[in-house]
Amino acid sequence: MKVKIKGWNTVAVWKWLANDDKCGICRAPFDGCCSDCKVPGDDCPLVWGVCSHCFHMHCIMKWLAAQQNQICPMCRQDWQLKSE
Amino acid sequence: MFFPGLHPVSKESRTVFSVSGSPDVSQDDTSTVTQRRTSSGSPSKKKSRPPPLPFRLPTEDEERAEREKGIAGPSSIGGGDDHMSTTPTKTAPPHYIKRRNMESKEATLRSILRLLAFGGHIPREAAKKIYPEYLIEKERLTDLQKVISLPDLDKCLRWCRSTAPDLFWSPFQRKDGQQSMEEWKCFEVVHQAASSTAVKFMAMMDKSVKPFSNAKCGSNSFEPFQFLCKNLAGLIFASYRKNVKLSTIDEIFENFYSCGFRAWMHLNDVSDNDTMDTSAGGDSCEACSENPCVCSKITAVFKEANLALHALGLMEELAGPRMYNVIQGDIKQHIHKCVSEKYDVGHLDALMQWFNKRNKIWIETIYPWMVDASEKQLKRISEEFLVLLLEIYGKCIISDMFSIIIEFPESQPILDDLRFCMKQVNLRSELVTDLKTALERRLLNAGVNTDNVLEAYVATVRALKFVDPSGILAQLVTPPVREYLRLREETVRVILVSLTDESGELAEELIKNPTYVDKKTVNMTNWRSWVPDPIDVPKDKHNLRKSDLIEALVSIYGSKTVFIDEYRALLADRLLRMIKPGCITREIKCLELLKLRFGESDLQKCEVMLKDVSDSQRLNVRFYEEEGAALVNSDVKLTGLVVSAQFWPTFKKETLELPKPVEEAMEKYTKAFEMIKGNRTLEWQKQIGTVEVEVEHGGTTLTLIVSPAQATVLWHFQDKEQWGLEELSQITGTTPSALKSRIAFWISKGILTNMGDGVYGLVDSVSEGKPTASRFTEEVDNDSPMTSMSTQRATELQMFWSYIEGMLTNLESLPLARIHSMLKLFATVECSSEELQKFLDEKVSQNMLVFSAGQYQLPK
Repeated sequence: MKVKIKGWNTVAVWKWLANDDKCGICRAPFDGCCSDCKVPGDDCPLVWGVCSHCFHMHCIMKWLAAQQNQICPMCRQDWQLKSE
Repeated sequence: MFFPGLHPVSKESRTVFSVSGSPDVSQDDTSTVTQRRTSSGSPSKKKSRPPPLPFRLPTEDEERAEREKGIAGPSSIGGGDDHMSTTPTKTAPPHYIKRRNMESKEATLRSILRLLAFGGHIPREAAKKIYPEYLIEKERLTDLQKVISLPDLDKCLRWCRSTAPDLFWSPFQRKDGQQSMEEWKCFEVVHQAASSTAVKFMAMMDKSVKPFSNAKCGSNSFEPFQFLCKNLAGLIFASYRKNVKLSTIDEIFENFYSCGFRAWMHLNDVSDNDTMDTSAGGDSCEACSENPCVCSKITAVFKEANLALHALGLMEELAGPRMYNVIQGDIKQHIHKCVSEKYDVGHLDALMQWFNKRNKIWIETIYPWMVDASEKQLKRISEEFLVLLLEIYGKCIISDMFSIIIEFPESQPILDDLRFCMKQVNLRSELVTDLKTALERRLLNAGVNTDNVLEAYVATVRALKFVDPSGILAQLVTPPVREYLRLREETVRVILVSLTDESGELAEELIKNPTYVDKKTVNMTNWRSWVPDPIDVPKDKHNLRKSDLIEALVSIYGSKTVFIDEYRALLADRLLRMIKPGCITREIKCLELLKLRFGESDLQKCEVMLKDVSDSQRLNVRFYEEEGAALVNSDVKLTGLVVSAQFWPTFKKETLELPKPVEEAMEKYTKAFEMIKGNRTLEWQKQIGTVEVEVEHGGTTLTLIVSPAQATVLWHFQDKEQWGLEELSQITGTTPSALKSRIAFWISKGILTNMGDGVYGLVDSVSEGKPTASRFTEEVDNDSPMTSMSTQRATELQMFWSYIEGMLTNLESLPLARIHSMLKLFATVECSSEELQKFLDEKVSQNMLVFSAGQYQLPK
C-alpha cells in the first residue's frame, strides 16, 4: 500500500517571541492588540527596548509621550529601542 | 345570551306608541324616549338571567301557600270593566287561534298592544318628569307604591305570582310527557303558548291593575303598569325552571325557530342552492316535511308568535338564547362550509353578501314589528348580527390558526379577514389561548426538529405582526415557544445557519432591514396618537413590539452576546472546515450585514478571524507560487491557516504525532514564516485541518479527503502491515479509544481490517476488503475542532476561583449571595448566581471548599 499526501491543510497559531505573555502597560496579551487597535500582529507590533522589556508599540509610544524622561516603565532605565 | 342592546324596554315603548298612534306623540319624542330607555336598561345587557327583580322571589313554601290563598285573588281584585271583548276567557282551549279566523286574530293582537299602550294618552313629558333616567328599579317600585296603595299592590303582586307563571307554562306542560315531538307539533305548542298566554295574561293584568291606576293616579299610570308587566315577565321566566323540564323547553324553542326560519327561507327562495331544493315538487316539502307544504302557514304563525312573545316582554328572556342558537348555527354552518381549509383566499366579501341577505330574513321574522322601524334601529340590530357573524368567523379562523400560520404568507388574505374581525370583536384572549395550546401541542414536543420549530416561530411572529402590527399579540403568544427554543441546545446554531445561508428566508430578512434602531428614542411628535397597552399584557423586558424578526429571534436568548459568541464559533467552524482555503466573500458579506445589526464592536473578533484567513491565503501564495518561493520544493504541500489565537474560540487540545514528512514540512513552513514576520513564530494545531490523500492499494487508487489523524494512522501502515492498538497509539501519540475510531474509518473504506486481539492489518486487496465495508457505518470525523461552549464557560468560571479563594481567605466564610455580589464588582464575565452555585458545589465535591450552614468556607 502506498499513501501519497497531495495536500495538507492545517492550522497554526502565531505567537510573538517575547519573554512575557502580556504587555506591561495595557495588560492585554501580546498576541492580542493594544487597547486602541482592532487587529493584532502586523498592525499592532511589539517593540523591544535595550533593557529587554517589550511592549505593544502603541502602548510604549503613548507612555513615552506622557513622560518627561524617556524611561522604561518596568525598570526605569532609559528607554532605547533595541536594534535588530 | 341575550342580544346585547336588544332590550325589550326600548322596543316595547317604540311599538306601543306607534300602534296606539296617539296624536300628541311626535316622532322625535318617541326616539328620545327610546334612547333613554336603552341607556337605562343597559346594565342588564348580556346577562343570562332575567333582569333583577326589585322584590324577593318567594321560596317554594311561600309560593305554595300563596297559591292556595291566591286562588280567590283575581275575582276579588277584578271588577274593572272588561273592554277586551274579543279576548278569550280563562277557559279558552289552547288551540283557539287555529280555529279563529284571521280577523279575530288581528283583533286579539291589536287589543294586546292597546293594553300595553295603556297609558298612550299620557303626555310623554309627564312620564319623563316622574321617571328621570337615573332612577333605579327600586326607586321605581317606591314610586309605584305611591301610585298604588301598598296593600293593594301587595295583593296584586301575590296574585300574579301565584297565577301568572302557571298560566303561561300550562301549554308547555301539557306536552311534557311526550319524549320526541314532531317539529310541527312543537311549533304549534310554542305558538299557542305564546299567543294564548299573552292574551290571557294581559287580560288579567288589566283587571288587576286597572282599578288602582284608574282610581288613584289617573293619567300617571302608564309607567307603573309597564314596570309591573316587565317584572312579572321576569317572574314567569324565573319560575319556569321549577315547573317545566328545561330540556323540553329548549328543544321546543330550538325546533320552533329553526322550523320558522326554514319555512321563511323556503317561501322567499333566498336559500343557498344546496341546503334545499324547492323544485323537488311531488314529495313533501323539504322545509316543513309536510305534504302539501305548510310553509306559508308556518311563517304567518311564526311571526305572530314572535309578536306575542314580544308583547309579553318574554322574547329575550325565553326565546333569546334559543333564537340566538339557531342563528348562530345557521352562520356557523355557512362559514364552515365556505371556509373549509381554504386559507389562501379571503372569505369576507362573500360572507358579507350572504349576511346581507340573511340579515333581512332574521329581522323580518324575529322582529316583525321592526320592519317599519327607523333606519337607525334597524341598523343597530343588523350591526349586532354582524358582530355575531364576525365573531363566529373569527373563531373559525382562530381554530385553524396554526395551519394558517404555517402557510404564511400564502394565507395572508384570511389573516386580513381576521384582522378585520378583531377590530370589531374582541377575540384577543381567545386567539392567544387557542394558538398557545395549538403551538404547544403541535410544535413543542421532542419529535419536531429545531429548524421546524424555528420556522414556525418565525411564521408565527410574522403572521401575528400582520394581524396586529403593534406586536402585542406576538408578545402574548410566543413566550412558550421562546422558552422552549431556549432549552434546545442547537437553537442558536440553527438560527445562525439560516441567517447566514444565502438562500434562506431569514437571510433575506437580514438584508432587507439592516438598520440598527435605538429603541429607547421615543417619538414625541405624534404623541397624540399614542395608545396605551391593554392591561393584561405582561411587562416583558424583551418585547417584540417594535422589534423586527431578527430581533425576535435574538431575543430568545435575552442578550446578543450569547448570539454573537455562537456566531463566532460557527464562523470558526466553517472557516476551519473549508477544504480548500478559498472563497470567504460570502462570510464577509454576512459579517457586514451582522455588523450593521449588532454594532461593529461586538463583531470585532469575527472580523479578525476573516482577516486571518485572507492573510493566510496570501502567505500560502507567497510560499508556494511566487517565483523563488521558500517552499516550492517541499515533499508535502502544507498549507497553513495562521490564526490569532486571542480572537478565535479555544481549540480542543489533542496530541497527535504526524508523519515525519509532514512534521518536516511544518518546520520549514515555520521557518519561512519567521523569516517574513520578525519575532513571531508558529504553534501548529496538528489535529485540525483536512488532508487530501491518494491511497494506492491492491491495484486501485482512492483519493479521499480525511482528517489529519486519519491520514496519520494510515500512513503508519505503509511501513508495517499490522499494528497493535497500543503500539500504534504510542507512535501517533493519541489515546487508544480515539485511535479506534480512526481505524474504523479505514475499515469502512475497506483498507484496514480487524485481525482480533487489538491487532489491525491491511486487507490484501481493496476489492476483497469491500464486503466488510457494509458492516460498519461510515464514521466521518464530524467533531468540531473547537471546545464546546460549556467547556469554555467552565474555563471562564475557573477564572473566578482565585478571586473566590482570596475572598474566603480574608473573610473566612461567606454565603452564596455575598460571593456573587462581590464577584460582580470585579467580574468581566457575566455569571448568574445559579451558575456560580453549581460551580461552587463542584468545588465542594472536590473538597476544595466546605459548605456549612449556608456559608462557603475554605477547608482548614
